[in-house]
Amino acid sequence: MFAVILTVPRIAALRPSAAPAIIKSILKKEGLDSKILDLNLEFHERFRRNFTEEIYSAVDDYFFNELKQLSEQEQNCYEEFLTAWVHRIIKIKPKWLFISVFTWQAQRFTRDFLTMWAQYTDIPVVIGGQGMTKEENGSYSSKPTFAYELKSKGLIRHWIRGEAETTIPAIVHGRTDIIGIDTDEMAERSNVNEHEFMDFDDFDIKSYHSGYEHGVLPMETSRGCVRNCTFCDIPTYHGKFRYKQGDRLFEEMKHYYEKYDVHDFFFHDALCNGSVKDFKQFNNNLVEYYKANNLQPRHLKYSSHYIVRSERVMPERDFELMGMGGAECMVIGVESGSDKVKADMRKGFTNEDLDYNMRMFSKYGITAYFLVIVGFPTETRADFDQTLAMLKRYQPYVADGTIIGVNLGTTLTIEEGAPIWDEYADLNIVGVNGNRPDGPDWMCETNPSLTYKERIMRRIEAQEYATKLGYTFWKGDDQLKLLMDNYNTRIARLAGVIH
Amino acid sequence: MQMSLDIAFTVGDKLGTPNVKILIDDYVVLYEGPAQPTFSRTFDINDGEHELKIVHYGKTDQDHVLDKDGSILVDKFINIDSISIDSIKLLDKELQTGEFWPVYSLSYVEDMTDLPESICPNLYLGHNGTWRYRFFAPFTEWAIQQRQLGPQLDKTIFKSSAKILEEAKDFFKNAPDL
Repeated sequence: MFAVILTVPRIAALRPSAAPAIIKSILKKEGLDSKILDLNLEFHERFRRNFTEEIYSAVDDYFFNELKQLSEQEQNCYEEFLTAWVHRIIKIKPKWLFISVFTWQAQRFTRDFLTMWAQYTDIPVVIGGQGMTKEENGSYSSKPTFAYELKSKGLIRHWIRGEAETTIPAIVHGRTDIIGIDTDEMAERSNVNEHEFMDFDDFDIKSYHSGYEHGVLPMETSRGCVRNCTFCDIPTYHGKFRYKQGDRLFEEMKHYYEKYDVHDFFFHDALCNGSVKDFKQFNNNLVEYYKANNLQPRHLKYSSHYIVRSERVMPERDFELMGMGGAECMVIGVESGSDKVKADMRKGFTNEDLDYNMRMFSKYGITAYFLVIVGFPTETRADFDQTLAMLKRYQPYVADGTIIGVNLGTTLTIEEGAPIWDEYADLNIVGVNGNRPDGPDWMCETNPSLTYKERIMRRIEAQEYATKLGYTFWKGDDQLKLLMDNYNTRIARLAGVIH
Repeated sequence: MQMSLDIAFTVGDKLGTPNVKILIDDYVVLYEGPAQPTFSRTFDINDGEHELKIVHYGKTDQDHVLDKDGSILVDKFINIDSISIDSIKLLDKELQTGEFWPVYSLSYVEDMTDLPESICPNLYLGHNGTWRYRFFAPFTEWAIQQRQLGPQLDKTIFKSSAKILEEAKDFFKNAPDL
């Protein structure tokens, strides 16, 4: 066995992860065998079953709360889980262990797992993924600090910065002196139209908590983004916008449908309608495929991140085609109900455009999931009130099932890689205690009442108000706990308890 | 409060336009007369439970044509295609909770046995009679509550509890402004 590829906690166990399936397909192309193991699913399933709900919740909290310490009993259960998997993987005798660290919330598990791994084996480890840095609301950092830490402790042989398509083949051929392997620079970016189809053979797709009979598979329509929102690091992380041709995207979805009998897909990239022309072609191909095979419209369904387009760019016919093709839930970075704040964010759409998109979604049976950012530096109380008014205005869309949820986030943080990281002075933003603006540590000189506490209070107010309106929240509890934990950390830091 | 009601009908009018009466709670008559394909009206309503009634009336034994086997060839009827309250379209499963209480014609009763007192689900008002649908005002909040919307996803991910919200409110209310 050339490699075992791991997905590790903590992410939502909604569907298989793409990264291991990408790596497996690359290795297969090289003629090498590999085995994917999803320890994240094992944690959410088997660990939860084998131990009590309290122990499961405690360990789950431990993964993302730095201040959380496990009790002796919780620690024993956790170590039992780690030990069992270390030995199980060693028995497979892989030449390499690849770990996909998808989020910073996977860092604690990865560190613990590799510490134990090193006690029993010297099989080399390669890690990669967005979780090699810790950014509250981003993925990019000029240095993969977590990878440096693991490397300094001798827990990993290499790290990969960026795309597997241009780095894994090099590792296979014994070359580790290229950009993207053990470097701060991102790996060379690949041509998305030349990617292999992902290999999900090792996954029990239906065992994930997707809520769909046949399970859900991840796909991607593109890398990068056509927009350049001030708070977002995606263009820096993923480079220039690269999209799959509509025909190519359709063929890939058809392949997974025919091979795995999966009917539902989630595009995990930044947006599915970056290239309107290709998106339209993709939907058109789906509709033609249904007709040619006597299938009902929406036989296959997809959900995705989506950017709001004006009526001029996406006329009604495009939404009708989306609906018939199988567009199910579109995740939209709505961010604010204030056009002024949206303009400051460089969102590229107005409330009028959003109203139009929502009408079209409701008409053609497409649902939406909102991402909202509370506490952008230029957000005044009046702007925030417009966000609350937007939630009220769209309440009928909650009732008719068009809006299925909202993610209120953890307030605006200034992250490396995002334009605002470099352009903060343009918005009159300053750091705290003489430091540069970083994460939640910033103030806007022209909006001084927007303290960190005020941002959080607005965030809480938004959740309370939206709860009354009937909205459902993504990770509502997690985010509030995170805000409280972070605030406690700041208090402790100021008191000199921690550094 | 104000409430809007929009109804789409298919009207079987080859033998003459059927008559329809649309009421809320027996006493608020929103419309009475020949059925049209669409009906829209805004009206005042109090908080609480209400009943929408759609009454098909005035049909006679001559208002349907049968073939030699007794099957209906042409009928005078009203079919409820869709209903929207406060711009929220009722789901199929919600429309199907509406119950039709037919008033059978004498000739029909003579020919048939074991006729049901009411039919549910039924949106085809072929007989005279009353179709009834119960709902609450304000409708939007009630519909959200009834539908228990939200993706069928892992509750650990979509978990959002009043307890944690209250805890966070208390925490930050008393926290220093750093």
